[in-house]
Formats: sequence, structure tokens, C-alpha cells
Amino acid sequence: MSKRVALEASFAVAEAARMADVDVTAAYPITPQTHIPERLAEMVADGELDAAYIPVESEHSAMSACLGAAAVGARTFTATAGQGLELMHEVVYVASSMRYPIVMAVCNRALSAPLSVWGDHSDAMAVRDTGWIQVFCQNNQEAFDLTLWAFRVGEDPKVLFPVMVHLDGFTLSHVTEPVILPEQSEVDRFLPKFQYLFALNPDKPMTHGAFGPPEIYSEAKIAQEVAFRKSKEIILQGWNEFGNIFGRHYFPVEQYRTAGAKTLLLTMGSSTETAKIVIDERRDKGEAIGLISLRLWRPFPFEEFRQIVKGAETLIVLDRCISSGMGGPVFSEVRSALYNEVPKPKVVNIIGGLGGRDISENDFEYVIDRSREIAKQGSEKMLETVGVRGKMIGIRG
Amino acid sequence: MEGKTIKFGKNLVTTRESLAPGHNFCAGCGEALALRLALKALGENVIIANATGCIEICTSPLPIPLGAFLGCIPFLKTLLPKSQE
Repeated sequence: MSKRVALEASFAVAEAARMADVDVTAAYPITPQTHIPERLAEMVADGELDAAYIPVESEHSAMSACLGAAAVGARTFTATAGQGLELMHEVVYVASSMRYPIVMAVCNRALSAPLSVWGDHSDAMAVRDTGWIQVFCQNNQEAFDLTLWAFRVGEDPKVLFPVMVHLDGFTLSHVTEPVILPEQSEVDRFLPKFQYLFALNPDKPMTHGAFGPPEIYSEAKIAQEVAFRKSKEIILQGWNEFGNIFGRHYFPVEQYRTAGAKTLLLTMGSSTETAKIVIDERRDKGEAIGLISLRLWRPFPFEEFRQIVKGAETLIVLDRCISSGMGGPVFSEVRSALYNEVPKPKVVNIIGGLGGRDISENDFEYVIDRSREIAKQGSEKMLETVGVRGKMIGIRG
Repeated sequence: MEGKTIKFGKNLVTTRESLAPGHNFCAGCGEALALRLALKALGENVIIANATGCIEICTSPLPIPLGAFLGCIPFLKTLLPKSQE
């Protein structure tokens, strides 16, 4: 029997790693770290988890140690956040190019300066091009589920890519919610033992990480890209199978009351659940408004996204990150994904929720009303924000 | 691939070559000689992890059959500042 318990998202992720029976975890154990490696360290020390726990001297070393572990065929897990992910950045690319199916939970946080450890999506957007499969969670249950799912998908011989599970720093990582934990037997049914075909072994010598001169680098990168795009098939299969066993269903683009919606709001991560309250109120009053959320961020779910957005007149994109001099990164991508579509909605970008600033129901009311105004005017302001004391710094009105 | 020991230095060094012909170290390179002897000393039950440098560049340019140059030893190469933890 599965059981329903109160768990912090960080503990839920650690529990998923334990039930996946990881072999190696390497992490840098202080700020900006979370309770994920802390709980894993406890599990290993208490004998609840038979794994090598490597406390390293930096995040750069954490990911390097994970590469080594994955190279010999160990099921490998790590976690980081914000500045830690930035320090790890160089090695993050190597994991995907060397096709090591490492799973990493990232508790999304703002990047300094001003110094901040609070939540936003700046760290996630800085690694969007690293070649990892990336998904976003809306609540603690999803953090557990998607961590488990990440091992299954990444380790599939047709995939062999690392997977990043993004969960919002603090609003999820440090918040306790009810989580349904499955039976170990169900987990074992969903997640087979990791059999890495290319594990380094003195009996079967091979080289990992050979260097690519100009004669071969392009071919290697394009081959990687082709394989990465193909991974979507297994991603969908993985969710399908997950739904069959655990009864919770996941999709590349999640929809909430979208039937016949003329206005669509797009959010990612935990703010989606706040937005649902506002969508409910407006729907009940008869407004044709719905909510979508990008679950799968890489590979980008073009087909599903275009299909769902088809009938809408306005698409409002809330970004919790700024690409300086450009706007919201999610906005840039979804607008680009729709550029050649006929008909296509007017896409409006609002930036908010930076560095742990809450996005309240009232803020969503403002986001929706203001976006409709902008869509009507047809003009595009350079920088539209929500929840920012704009008059103080001269960006609004 | 059992190596034979040399008569005048029994148990001192094996004739087995882990640094196989085909590498592109410069003639007389000290690092190559050191690597060759180190690999003899390390034996067969070993995996090498190596940060970027001449040893990587001279033993593993793609596209070659994987492991061709360091014919008998599994090899993992990664970034400049970091040999494996």
C-alpha cells in the first residue's frame, strides 16, 4: 500500500533517490545547497541507503565526481541550486555530451547580485542549452514523481542523457505538503536496474571523452542533437508507464480549464498552483480563460504546445527571469515557436517573482488585465512587470 | 595478454605495452615515456581518469576506434581543471 505523508519537497526528492536505490551521490553540502543532500547523507549514515556519498569541495567537483561514477555504470544523483549550478556550469555540458544519465534536482533560485538565495528561474534559464532533459515541478508530489521518472528516462538505452528536475527554491524545496509515497515493489516495477552498456571496465577497455578536432566535432554535436530530440518518444513512454503504475499522469504541456479559452496564461513551476485559483474564479464568472504550464522544457514540446495554443487570441507568458536586453526567456521561446503558425495568438510578456518575490492572486489578476490591455493596444512596452514598485525606479507609467 | 617479464629484471617491468603504437606524442617526449612506464607499473586492472592535456590529445583524437591507442586500458578524459574526483 502506498502511504500519504507530510514531506518537504527536498525530503520527497531524497526519498525518490532512496527508492531508486542510487549508487553514488556527490554534493557540496553548504549554501546554496538544500535539504536534499542533507537528507541523503542521513540515509547513507543510518544505513537506509546503500550508496557512496561523496562530500566534495565545490559544485564543480560534485558534477565531476558524478561523471566518474556514471562512467563506470553507477546510478548517480546530485542536487544543487542557484549559485551552485552556476559554479557547476562547465561540467554540466560534459555530462550531456558524454551521454551520462545523471539525475540532478535543482531548487531554482535567483542569482546574485544583490545577494539572494530566494526563488526564481534565473539559474534554470542559464543552463537551458546544456543538453539535459529538463522538467519543472508544481508541487512536492511532482518533485517526488519526476525524480523517479528521471532515472527511468535518462537511463533508457535509447536516451542516455542526464535529466534535470527543477523545483522552485523555498516555495517548494522548503515547504511541507502531503506526498503519496509508493511501495518499493511498485517503484521496482517502474524502474529497472541500471545496465550501462558502455561502463568503463578493465575487461572491456574503451575511451570516454576523446577530443573532437574540427573534422569530427560538428558531426558529434549533430548526432547528439538528433538523439536528444528522439528522446521525447521515451519521455512520453515514461510518463505513460508512470501513469499506469502510480495513477498520476504527466504531459509535456499541462492544461487547466483550457477548453474554448480565448486567453491563455502560461506559467512554470509552483506559481501555476496560485494561478489556478484566479483561473477558477474567472472561469466561474464565464470568462474564456485557461492556464497552461510547460512541464517539459527540454526538449521543447513544439507539437503539443502549438496544438494547445491554436485557438487562443492572447497568450500571456509569466517569466521569473530576465534575459538582459531581451526580455523573458520563456516568452522569447514560445513566441518563436508560434511565429510561423496561422492563426497565432498575440503573445504578451510579464516579468515577476524575481528573487523570491511572491506572486499573489492579486498579482495574477493584474497580469491578466494588464496583458489584455497590451494585446488590445497592439503595442509592446519594453519591460512589463508585476509586483515591482515601478514608480520608485522609473520603469512604469 | 599476459606480459612476459624481462630476464634481467624479473618482476621489475612487464613487456606488455598499454600505450600502444599509433599515438602522436613527439619523438622523445618525456611525458610519453613516463606514461608508458606508469601503465606498466599499474598493471591491467585499472581505469585511468585524466584531465585535459597532452596525454589526452596524443592518445585519443576522434574519429578512431575507441581505446585504440591506449589499447588495453579504459580511459576517461574530462575538463582542463579537473581530473576525476
